[in-house]
Amino acid sequence: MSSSRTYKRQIPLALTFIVGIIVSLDWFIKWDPLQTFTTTLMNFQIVMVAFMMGFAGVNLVYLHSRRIQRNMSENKLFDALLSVVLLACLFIWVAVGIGMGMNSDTYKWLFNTFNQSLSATAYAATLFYLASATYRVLRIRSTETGILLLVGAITICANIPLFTAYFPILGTILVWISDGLVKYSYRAITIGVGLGGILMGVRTLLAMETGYLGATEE
Amino acid sequence: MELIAGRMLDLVTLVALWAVALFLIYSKRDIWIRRLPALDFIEESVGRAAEMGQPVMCQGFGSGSSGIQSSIAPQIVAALSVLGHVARICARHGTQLVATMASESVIPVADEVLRTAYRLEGKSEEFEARKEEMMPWTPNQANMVSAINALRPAAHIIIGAFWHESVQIAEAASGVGAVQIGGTGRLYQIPFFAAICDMNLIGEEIYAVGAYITRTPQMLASIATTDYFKVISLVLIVLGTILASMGMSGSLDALFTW
Repeated sequence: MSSSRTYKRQIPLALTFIVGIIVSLDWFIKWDPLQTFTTTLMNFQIVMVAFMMGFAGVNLVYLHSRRIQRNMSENKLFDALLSVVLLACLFIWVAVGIGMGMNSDTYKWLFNTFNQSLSATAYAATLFYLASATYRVLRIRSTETGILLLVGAITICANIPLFTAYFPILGTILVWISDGLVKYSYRAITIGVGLGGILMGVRTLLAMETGYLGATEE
Repeated sequence: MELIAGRMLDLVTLVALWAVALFLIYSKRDIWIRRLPALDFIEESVGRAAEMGQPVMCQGFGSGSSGIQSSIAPQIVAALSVLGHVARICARHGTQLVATMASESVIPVADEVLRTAYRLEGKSEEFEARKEEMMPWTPNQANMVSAINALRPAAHIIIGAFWHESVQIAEAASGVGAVQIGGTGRLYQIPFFAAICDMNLIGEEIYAVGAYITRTPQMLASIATTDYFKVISLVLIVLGTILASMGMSGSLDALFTW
């Protein structure tokens, strides 16, 4: 067995099994040493994620510095400018965050002015995508899509007061659809997803599912 | 040391699940699992992208602050299994692959998945040369949609955990004419994918990806375990309904709070 294989496969798999079992036991057993150990493991995870964030930041600077150089040499000035804006934002954000703190007025102003408004805009765009997706789904192509159209039409009409005022039965039908058909179908899917997730965990602990290590098909 | 009250049924169920899974895995029975047309469609969609000279795009590797360290980890692992499979096909056909990264914790893992896939196809140099463009950083839906509009993929494989952005991303890909394979374990996003994508993996099907691709008896056995427990769940549901109808809800409560 090569040392590379031991380092990249066997040790992580063994650690996954041991840590997985310990953390699982902590859910069922109340024992102070176990709880202390699990808390320490969780803290390790927080530290590792923080390290990854820092590493990602450094990587971003490296990547975009190279991209600026390459785009400048290929005369792609707009692309270079985008990378410059990104790096400038990164440095300003980090400097304000570390220098003034995340609760400072400047940091909040930056967040509310840029991040918040841009996020709200992106979120608002969902409406248009949703409308075109609705149009796509409500076209009759088969029996199933015909039923979907019928249910969709009832749901839409039942949510409009004008229709429910004249046809109160629509409200009753909507409640039957959402509290009956939809809820029970979702529960069936939830049971399947839950079992699938647990079995994925079992496969991971037994070193059968190794996707998280990178080598999925070797 | 004491057992925590109210979690005994969870423990018994988990032990039973382990026991059945281990029994099936080591009994080495021939296990049949049904076809998943969505996964069979991957090769075809990559071939389409190769013919059109356009890229294949994979998404589903984390979402904002939720990465491989969070509760969506199983779905990310499933997405990584698909990525490894798609990357091998892309490397074989010489098709450009783009896998957008939405969480920094997934990047090193995805890097290794892609590296392995390209190495297995004897295309390590191609991976090293194109690595930078292969994994663009797209932490939110605006970036994901921009990436789709800029690259105009011919095939879009969107498997993993998504929130409301699912409809934006999938609809944007439909807008550029990409064929789409969608799958998620997130309940409220399944209808969006069903509406927009050409092929779907519904709910727990995404967890079967690894087994379906590798087809090892052990992996197939674990999928069969899920099905056995679904049958048990069904029996319990019917039993519970009968008991509740007979006014014996108290016994059920006692069972589930044991």
